[in-house]
Amino acid sequence: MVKFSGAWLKSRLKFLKNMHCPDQANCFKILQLMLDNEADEAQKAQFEWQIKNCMPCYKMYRLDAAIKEVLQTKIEVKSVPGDLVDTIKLKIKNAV
Amino acid sequence: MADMRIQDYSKKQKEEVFEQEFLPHINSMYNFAYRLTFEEDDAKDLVQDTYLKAFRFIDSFERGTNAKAWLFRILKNSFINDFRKKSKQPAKVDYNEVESYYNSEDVDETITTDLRVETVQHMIGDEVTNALNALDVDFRTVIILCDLEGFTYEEMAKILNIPIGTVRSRLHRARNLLKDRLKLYANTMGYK
Repeated sequence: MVKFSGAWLKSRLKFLKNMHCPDQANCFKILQLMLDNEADEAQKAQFEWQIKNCMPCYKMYRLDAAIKEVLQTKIEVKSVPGDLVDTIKLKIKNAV
Repeated sequence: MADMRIQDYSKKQKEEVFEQEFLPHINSMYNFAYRLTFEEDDAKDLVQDTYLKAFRFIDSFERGTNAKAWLFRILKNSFINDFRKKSKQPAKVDYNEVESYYNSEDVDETITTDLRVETVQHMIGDEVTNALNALDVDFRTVIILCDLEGFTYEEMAKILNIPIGTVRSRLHRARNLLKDRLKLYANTMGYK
């Protein structure tokens, strides 16, 4: 039986954590479900494991969450023109 | 929405439904319309059309159900059927190619971006808005519905009349495209 040193295993683990997610397509699906609050309990558990053990997934999730947040907070919300509601009501009244 | 039962509201009930269930969503409706058309006057016309249609078909709406999703679906359809036709914009790409790309449920496509969280957080509203507005309308729409309006995948599927799997894959692609745009802005503006 081949034995690996602790240092070697540690270095491999570090490499995998930083460089590549072995199941990227599936991970991205879970990350998106979490981001959009659509994940079920099993997917939430998988997500927790992923972000602790996979640096690319963790980075991607943080970026996606940051983008979602800036979309929600920094995009200008337009005010409804003052006469719009009255115009709609008038048109409906005339149509009835 | 296809399985909705037809109601038989009195005139008073119709007015109540309109006032209590439809009008409270006018802010979201106007902003959605503006983000589709980019023009205040067009957005106003689109919202007016939507509310007039909603009133005309009010018997198709069941009180206490999801009025916002129902209205958004009408607005989206009005935009596609009326406004996009009026603008007579030439098709930029082959439709069949786009159709198969949009409607594939495959989300294997991956992206590796070096866009940094801090860079995104430092962007101003105009940069984020421009990046979003630069997306094709179908990709822009899923981001607006999900991230700005907070609709669930199920609601989005009904509004857009597509399967939930397609919602997920379109959203995934839309976000990748948005990242590309944000990265482009970051490079242009000299963000690190």
